[in-house]
Amino acid sequence: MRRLFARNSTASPTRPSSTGGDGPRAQVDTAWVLDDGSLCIDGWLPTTPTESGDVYARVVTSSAGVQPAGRLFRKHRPDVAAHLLGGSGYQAGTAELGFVGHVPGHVTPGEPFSLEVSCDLGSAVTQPLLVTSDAVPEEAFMGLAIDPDTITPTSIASLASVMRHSFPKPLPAATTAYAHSSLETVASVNVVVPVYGGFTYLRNLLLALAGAQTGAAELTIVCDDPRIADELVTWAGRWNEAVYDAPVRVLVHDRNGGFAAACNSGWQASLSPLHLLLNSDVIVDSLAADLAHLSSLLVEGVAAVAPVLLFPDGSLQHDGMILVEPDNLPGFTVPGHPGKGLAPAAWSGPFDAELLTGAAILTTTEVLQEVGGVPPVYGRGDFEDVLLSVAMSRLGRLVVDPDVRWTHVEGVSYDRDQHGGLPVTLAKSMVIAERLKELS
Amino acid sequence: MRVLVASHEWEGAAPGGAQRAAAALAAGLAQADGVNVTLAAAVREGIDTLASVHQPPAGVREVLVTSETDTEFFSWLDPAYAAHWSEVLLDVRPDVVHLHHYYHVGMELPLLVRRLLPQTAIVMTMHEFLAICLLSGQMVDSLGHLCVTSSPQRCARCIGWPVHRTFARQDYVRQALLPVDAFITPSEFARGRYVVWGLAPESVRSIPNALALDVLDAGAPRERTGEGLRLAYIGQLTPTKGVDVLVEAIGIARRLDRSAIEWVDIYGGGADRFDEAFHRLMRQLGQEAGPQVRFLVPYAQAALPAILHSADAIVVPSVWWENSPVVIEEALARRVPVVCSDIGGMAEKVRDGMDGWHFPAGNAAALAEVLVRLSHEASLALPGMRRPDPVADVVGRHLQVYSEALESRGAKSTLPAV
Repeated sequence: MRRLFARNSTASPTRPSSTGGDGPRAQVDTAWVLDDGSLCIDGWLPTTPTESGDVYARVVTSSAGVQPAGRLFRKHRPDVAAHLLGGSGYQAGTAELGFVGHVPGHVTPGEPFSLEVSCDLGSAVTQPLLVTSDAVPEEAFMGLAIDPDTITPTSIASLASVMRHSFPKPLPAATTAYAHSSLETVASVNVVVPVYGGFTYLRNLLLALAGAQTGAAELTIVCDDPRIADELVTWAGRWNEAVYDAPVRVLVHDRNGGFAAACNSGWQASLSPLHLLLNSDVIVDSLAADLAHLSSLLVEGVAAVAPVLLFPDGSLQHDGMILVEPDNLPGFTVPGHPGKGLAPAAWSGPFDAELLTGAAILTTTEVLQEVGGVPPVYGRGDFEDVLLSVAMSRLGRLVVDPDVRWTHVEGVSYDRDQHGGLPVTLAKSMVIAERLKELS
Repeated sequence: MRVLVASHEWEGAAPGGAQRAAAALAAGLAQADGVNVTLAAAVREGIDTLASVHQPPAGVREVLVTSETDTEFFSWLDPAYAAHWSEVLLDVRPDVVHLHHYYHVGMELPLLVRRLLPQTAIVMTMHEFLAICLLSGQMVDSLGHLCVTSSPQRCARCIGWPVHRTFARQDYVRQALLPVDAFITPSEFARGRYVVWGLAPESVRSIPNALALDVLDAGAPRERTGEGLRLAYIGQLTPTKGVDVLVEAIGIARRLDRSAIEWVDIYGGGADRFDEAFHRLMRQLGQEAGPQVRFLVPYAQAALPAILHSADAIVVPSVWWENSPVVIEEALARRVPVVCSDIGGMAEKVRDGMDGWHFPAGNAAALAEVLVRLSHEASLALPGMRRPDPVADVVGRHLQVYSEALESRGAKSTLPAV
């Protein structure tokens, strides 16, 4: 696959307009030519918040004429679109119907072609006005509607191709926006919490940290969302200085860099010998005691330790992961949580796991340095922990400690449906399979 | 011993049972040898504190602290309120901080005390169930049914929140209470509820409110003078107080026996908090009950002895559990029997047939039957009626808790004489 460079010379950099047709004007931000000559595209249509419809695209070339249309994945996140547009071109009552996906047909290198995008909303025909982009914005994969009709091996493969060639992207720059004076003393464990979208339950963690004895833990909050950075830094600084008085630092990324980049900024910012990678929606009760318990298991031959995670109703969320090939998705490998939703087992003590979830992993600086940190895959979502687990398991055992049980209010910080749903998961599965081969 | 009593409201701006109990305890502590008491009351932004004619309890230094909380976590609305409390704490440097409630005072205040004054003992009185029940603090669900136990799932269904939100709230509140050395509940019933919720049994002591009731003790019980019963209701005019049950019962009693009830005086505020449907219901029930039901304005505390003396019995018909209604203690101090719902703190504080009579909560017909039966009695005197604990005894039990809490913190404590 190679990236196609075509430019609309008259378009504005943030919201280029298309020409042709009387309906909504579609905009294709980026297109890639795949090895077989077909395309992957990413773009959007201006709509209203209540409008939606199926989106199709087809290629028109002078030599082959009009080629078969492909149905695209819909994106439905007007707030994301507004963010991408920087707010300048976004008006109340408007929305963007985003799309991304595979366009069948064939284009020949060097041969001019047109791309036609149509939608149930009406005709929306684009001229060949593709906008150059050095990398697909991560948000391109957000908000893909789960639409079984558009899930085909070809479309998934094409989406995977887009991902594969869109990452790794440049790492974001991290700035320390707040640091409590007590951080001068290095704590035993550095708790790294990436934050994206919101931070409702950070107050629980700050309170738990405030109740921990001095030196037990420090907290590194990594704000990976420029939209909430100011609010988060102000909130954390004011509350911590006035009330919690806990060893907390807040790092801010200059742009969204994804889960892996946030974790890596977090552990690299601390001199603590141990690092707990923790989702912001994991509720920890007895922080100091639990960390001491987990740390005691990080002995020779153990690379990482994790607690058991429960749902708020007490049922099991995580006690180790495995890679599985679902019956209904032959050919795709995805991480599975055995026992998820069931009553916790009667464990007799710590046990080994094949993989650990990224929601809560305790490991050492040496291990993280050895594996090169959390491997960036492609933005948020699944699989970073799979790669991390596989890499760490080459250095030592992965252990789950059932005496430490935390509650994961999953879904608060991460809404799978709003982050791509099944198509993205499957496409990631294809990419991860390649990465796992590389690791092995 | 320096004691800082923190009240969630200032009586001068918002009279109520919990703030009254806090002020009464402060007054009682001030009478003990060697105890220096400061009463710190939370006041909301914009309250005109100069407009009140309120006088602080004798011997008690009173300070007002601007402090407001949200209604979910009971966290300060602004972390700047921590500075207000810090100023008071560092000025008083108490050996003991006794918190009456967390609402308005701030769920983070125990943490702040522990940070600033590590040796200070922290004691908290739980006046109702807001930590357990976010809907109303009364453990009555959204359909009006009595709730026995809470859980994130049950609370989520009741209040209409996602489970993760109720779970996180419960976690926050429990963790915020960890610095507290000892809890006090005014009733065994409330103690049981908080233990089931998760407080360590050994950390919760049941001690009555330190109410100064001596002035009400008239000695001999009052004898009936009229043919029909003379009854009084003293309390908030809100739905969970069951005043509608009482008014409906009066109408039923009247149909059973026209002379059973001479009058029912209803004293209380809170009518402004009626929703319209409850207001309409009260009007309708009042018309059906007839002129015997007399809605009166909120009373002054000084008028309480006369109000109690005029009644053959008082009625406490709450349809929520109640913790330890002050009015029950006041009535018993005056030797006036109590007719009350057979649940929670009411059933505990009023022993059926000994301090008064029970009826099934919310059952107006059953209440009517009890009232008609009592109207045929020549005397409602109950020889075995409980006398509320003398305030000095209650203060002594509080001091014992303080002493134990101080010792658990490694601080030396000398129990002062009461």
